[in-house]
Amino acid sequence: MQLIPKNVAGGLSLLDIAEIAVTKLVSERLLSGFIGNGTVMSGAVKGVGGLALSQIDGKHAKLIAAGMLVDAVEDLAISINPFGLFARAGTAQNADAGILRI
Amino acid sequence: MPNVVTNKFLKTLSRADFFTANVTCTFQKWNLVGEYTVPAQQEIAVGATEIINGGATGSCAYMRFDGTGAAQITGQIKVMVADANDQGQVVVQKSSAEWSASATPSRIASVLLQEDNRRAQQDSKIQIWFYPTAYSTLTTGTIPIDVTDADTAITLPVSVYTVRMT
Repeated sequence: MQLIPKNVAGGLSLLDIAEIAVTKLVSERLLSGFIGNGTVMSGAVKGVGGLALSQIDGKHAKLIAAGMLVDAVEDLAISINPFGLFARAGTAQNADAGILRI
Repeated sequence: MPNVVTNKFLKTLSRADFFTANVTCTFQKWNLVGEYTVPAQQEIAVGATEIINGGATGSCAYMRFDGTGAAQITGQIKVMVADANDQGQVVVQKSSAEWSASATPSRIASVLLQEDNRRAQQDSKIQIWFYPTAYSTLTTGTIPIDVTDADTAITLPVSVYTVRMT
C-alpha cells in the first residue's frame, strides 16, 4: 500500500512507516541511558548519527536514518522549545516517580 | 493537557497558619489542632531537604503547645495530609513525644525534617494532631492550648511546588 505516491516522495509503504516509527521508539529508549532524551545534546547526537546513516546505501539504512532524524528533531524541538510551543510528551511525569499525591 | 509541576520553593508554616484562637484538647485522645489548606496551583510536601556540605539534611521543625497556665502540655504530635473530602488521610510524621522541650524554637531543639514523598494537592490539607498526656498534674478532662503564650509555636518546613497547565 502506497501512502505517498512514488512520484512525490519516492513512495513509502505502511511497513516502511512502521520501520521508521519502531526505529524512533527503540533508538530513543536505547540511547536515553547514554545521551539522555529531549535535550540539545541528545538531539545533536541523534541528528549526526541519522545523517551519517542516511549516507549508507540501502532502503533500511535510509528508513532507520529517518527514524533517528525524527527523534533528533523532536529532541531539539523540546529542548529549545521556542515560545513554549512544544510540551514534553510522555516524559514530563518521569521526575515524579515515587511521588504520591493526596 | 497535563499539569506540569515546576519550580519548587521552601516555605515555613507557622502557628498562625494552623490556628489563631485557643484550641481545646481532650486528654488521652487525638485532637485536630489545626489545618492548612493547600492554595491554588500548588503542591506541598511536608519537610524540606537542604544540601549542606554535600549531604542531604532536613529542615528544622519545631512544635510546642503551652496551656493557659504558661506551662507546656506534654503529649504526642502527628502531621497528616488529608484530601479535601477526608476520603484519604496519611500520617507523614509522628513523634513519640513533643517535638521540643526548650522554651524557644532553636536549631538544637528542633527535629530535622526531610522532604516527604507524599504531596498534598490543591485544596488538600496539612493537619496537625495532638495527643495530650499531661499538663502539670492534670491528666484527664480538657486543656486549652493558649494561643497568646509566646511559647506555643509551630515551625513546620514544607516544600512548595507550583503547578500550571501546559
